[in-house]
Amino acid sequence: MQIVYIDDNASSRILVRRVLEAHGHTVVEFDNGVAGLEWLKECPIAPDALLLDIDMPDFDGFMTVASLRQDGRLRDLPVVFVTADVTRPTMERVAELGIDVIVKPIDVSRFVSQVRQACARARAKGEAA
Amino acid sequence: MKTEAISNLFAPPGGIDDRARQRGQTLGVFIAATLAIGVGVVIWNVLAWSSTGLTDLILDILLFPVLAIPAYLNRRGRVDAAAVVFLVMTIALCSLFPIDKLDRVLIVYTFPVMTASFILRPGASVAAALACVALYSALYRWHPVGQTYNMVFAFALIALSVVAYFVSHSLERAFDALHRSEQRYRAIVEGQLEMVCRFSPDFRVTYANEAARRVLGWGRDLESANFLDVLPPDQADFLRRQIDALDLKTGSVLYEYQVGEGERAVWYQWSVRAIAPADDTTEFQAVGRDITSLKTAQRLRELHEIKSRFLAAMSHELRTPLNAIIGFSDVLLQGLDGPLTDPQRQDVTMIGESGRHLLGLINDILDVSKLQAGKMRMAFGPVNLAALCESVASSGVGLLKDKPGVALRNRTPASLPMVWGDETRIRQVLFNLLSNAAKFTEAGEIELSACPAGDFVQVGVRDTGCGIPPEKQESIFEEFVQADDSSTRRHSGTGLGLPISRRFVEMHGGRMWVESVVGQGSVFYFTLPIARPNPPDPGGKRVVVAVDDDPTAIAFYCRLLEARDFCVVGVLDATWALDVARRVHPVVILLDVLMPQLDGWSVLRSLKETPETRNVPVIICSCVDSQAVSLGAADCLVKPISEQDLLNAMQRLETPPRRKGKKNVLIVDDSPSDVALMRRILEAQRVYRVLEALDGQAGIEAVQTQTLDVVILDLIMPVLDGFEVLEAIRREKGDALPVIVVTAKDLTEEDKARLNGKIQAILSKSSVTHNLAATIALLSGAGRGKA
Repeated sequence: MQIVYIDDNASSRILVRRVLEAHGHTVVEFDNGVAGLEWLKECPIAPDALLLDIDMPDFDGFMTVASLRQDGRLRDLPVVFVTADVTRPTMERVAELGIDVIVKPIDVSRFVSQVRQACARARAKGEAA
Repeated sequence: MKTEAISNLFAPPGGIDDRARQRGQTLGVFIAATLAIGVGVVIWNVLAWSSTGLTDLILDILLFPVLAIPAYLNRRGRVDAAAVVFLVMTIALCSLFPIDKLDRVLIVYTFPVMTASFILRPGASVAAALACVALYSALYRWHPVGQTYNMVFAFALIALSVVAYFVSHSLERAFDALHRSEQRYRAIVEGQLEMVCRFSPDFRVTYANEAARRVLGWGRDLESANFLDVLPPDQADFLRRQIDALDLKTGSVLYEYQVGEGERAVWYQWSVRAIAPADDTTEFQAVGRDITSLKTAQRLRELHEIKSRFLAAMSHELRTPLNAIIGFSDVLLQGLDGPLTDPQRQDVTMIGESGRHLLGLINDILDVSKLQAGKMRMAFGPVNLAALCESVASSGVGLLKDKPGVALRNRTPASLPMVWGDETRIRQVLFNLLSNAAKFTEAGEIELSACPAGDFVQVGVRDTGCGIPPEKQESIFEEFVQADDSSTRRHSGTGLGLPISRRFVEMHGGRMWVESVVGQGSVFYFTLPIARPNPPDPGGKRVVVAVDDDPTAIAFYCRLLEARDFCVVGVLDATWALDVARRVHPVVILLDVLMPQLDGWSVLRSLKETPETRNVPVIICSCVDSQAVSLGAADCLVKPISEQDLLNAMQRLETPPRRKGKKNVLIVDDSPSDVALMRRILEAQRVYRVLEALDGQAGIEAVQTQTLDVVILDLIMPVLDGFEVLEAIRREKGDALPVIVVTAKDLTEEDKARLNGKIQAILSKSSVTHNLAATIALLSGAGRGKA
C-alpha cells in the first residue's frame, strides 16, 4: 500500500515509517496538514490510505479531514486517525466523523493489521455511501 | 397580698403556659372567695339557728368538699376542667335551693362574676357582675321569686354564659392567631441566617433583623444606622446609582462584594427591592447573605476542572514520547533494524516494559481522576461473561511468561447467564485481578471461576500467592495503598488497580471483596448483575421480540425494524423469551435456534403451548433444517439474513400470499449463479413463478411460448446478447411485456440510446439483492396488496 502520514511529531513519523516499510508499504510523510493536502491534491494517483494525527498546530486533523471531504477526488480516500489525544471531546468528534482511530502509543506488532482493517472499513463505508 | 396567697393555694403551679396560669389564678381567686362566702354563710346559719333548718346547714357544709373538686383540678393545672366543674356545681346549687336566702344570693353572685372574669377580660367581668346583680335584684324585688323563677334564672345565666364564652373564645382565638402569626414571621425574619434590612430612600435603616445587626455591627437602636456605611465605598456608589435607576415596581438589584483578603475574605451577596412603591412610603428591603462557601465551592469546581484538563493534557503529552519509547523498543525487538545481541535484547525489553508501566500509570491516574470527578461514563449492555473470561484468560497467559511454575486455569462454565455491564470495564477488572494474582504468585496456580448467585454472577480469581493479612484486606481497596509497603519495591504498581476495579464493579451495582490467608493465597471476588430484559415502552408501536444470543444480531433487527416504526425488544437469554413475549404482546417473534441457554426449538414449543403467545407468528432465523414450519413457525430465514429477507418475511406475515395468481418471471442470464440469486430473491416473495433461460436464444423461445409477466434480462451474453433479445421481445410482444435489465456492464451513451424507451428499469448486478424485489413488484403489479 502507499500510505500518507501526517503528524507534527518527528519521532512518531519515523516510527510509523519504520514499521510500515518493514511490512513492504511505502510511506509519504508530512509534518502538517496543509503540506499534506497540497501533495494529495497534486498527486496523480491517490494513495491507498491517509494516517492522520489530530492535535497539530494551526491546521489540525479535523480540519484536514474537512478539506479532504470537500475534494471530489479525495473524498473517498480511507482516513485513519493516529492520536495520543484520548480525551472525550476528541473521541466524540472522531466517532461523529465515523473514522477509525489508532491510539498512541501504537502497538508495533498489531499496527499494520490495524491500519489495514481500518482502511477496509473506511473503504466499505465509502462504497455504502 | 394575703388574698393572693390564699388564691395561690387553689391556683395551678408554674409549668403550664402563661395564659392558662393566669386563668387558673383568676379561678383560684373565685374558689377562695366562694369558700370564704361559704364559711360566712355557715357561721350566719349557726348564729341564726332558729331561722334556718338543719338540712340547710348540712347542705352548706357539704358545699366545701364539693368545692374541693375544682380546687383540686385547678391545682393540677387542669384549668378548663376546673372551670366547668365549678360552673356546673354552682348552677346545680342555684337550682336546688329557694333563691330568697342570702347564702344562695352570694353563691349565685359568685357564679356570673366568676364566669365573666374567667372567660372574658377583667373589664367585661366587672360589667357582667354588675349586670347580674342588677338583674337579680330586679327579679327579687318585683316578683315573689319561687322555685320556677329560680330555674329560669339559672338557665338564662347558662345560656348567657355559653354565648359569652363562644363569642369571647372566637375573638380570643382570632387575636391569638394574629399574634402567633406575627410572632412566627417575626421569628422567621429575626432568626434568619440571612440578613434582612429595610431602609428608606435616603438609606436610613428602619429595620434590621438579628443577623444583620450582628454582622453589620448595629445595636438594637437603629437611629444612626445607614445602609451605605456597611458597603465598601465603590459598592456604595454602585448601589446608589443602581437604586436611582431602579424600576420601583418590578426591579431588583443584586450585587456581590468581598470584604477582606486571602484566607479571611468573606463574600456577601445582597438583593434589594422596593416595598410599597405605590404610595409615598417607599422603602427598600435588602436581603443579604454570606456566600463565601458558595464562592469557595465554585472555586473548587474550577480547580477541579483545571485538574481534569491538566490530567488530560498530561496524558496526551506523555503518550507522545511514550509512543516513540515503546514503539522503537518494539521495532528493535522485532528485529526490524537487524538482529540484537542478548544483552541488547534485555536492555531494550527493559526500556519497553518501563514505557508500558508508565503508560499503565497514566491510564490509571486518568481513570481515578474521572472516577473522583464522577465523569466516568459506562456503556452498559448485555455482556457474555463466559466469552469475556475466556478471552481475558488467554491474554493473561502472557503475564506468566516469566513464571513457569505458575499455571493459569479458566474454570468459567460456558453456560453462564449474560451479565449487564460495560464490557471494556469488566475486561479491565478481570485483567487487573489476573495481573495482580500473577504479580504476587511465585508458584502454584491462578484460577478464574464464575457461578450465578441469585441475581448476580459471582466471579472469583484465586491465587496461591503470598496472601494478604486480615488488617490489610480492606485498605488495599483504597487509593495508593499496597498490602506490603516493603514489597512495593519488588512488585511495582500504582496501587490504583484495585480501587479502580472496585469502583467499576460498584458502578455496575455489584461488590468486590477479598478472602485471603497469609502464605496460602487470596481469592478476589466480585459480582455483576445478571442481564434482565426490561422491555421498553412500545409507545403505541408494534412490538417485535427478537430472541438471539448474539447482541449484534439484535442490533441489526433494531436498526432495521425501528426505522420502519416497530419497537424491537431484544432478548439475549432464551430462558426469558417466553416471559417477555407474554408481557409485551409482540406482533412477530424473531427466534434464533442455536443459543447456549436454551435452544430455539424449545422456546418455539413453549411459545406455542402458551395461550397468550400461541397465535403470535414466529420467524425462525438461522434455520438449519426444515422442521421449523412443522413445529409452528410462520417462516424461517437462513443466516446471514439480509435486510430484504427480513423485510420480505415481515411483509408476507402482514399480507398473506395470493397463491393462485402467481406472476411468471423469465430470467435471461448466462451466469447460473446470478440466476440462482435472483430466483432466491423472487421466490422468497412467494408471488412469482421463475422461468430461466441461460442464453439469448432460449430467452427468445421462452418469450414466444410462455405467458410472461416480466422479463429480467442480462445484457452481456455470448452469441445473442441482451440488446438483440430485447429487439426480439419488442418485435414479438410490442411494449406489453415489462423488461428489467440487470447488468454488470457500465452503460455507455450508445448503450443507453439503444435501450431507451424499450425497457422499464435498469439494475446493476451489485444492487440486485436490494432492489430487485421492489422493482419487480412495481412493474408486475404484484405485492401491492396494501399499497
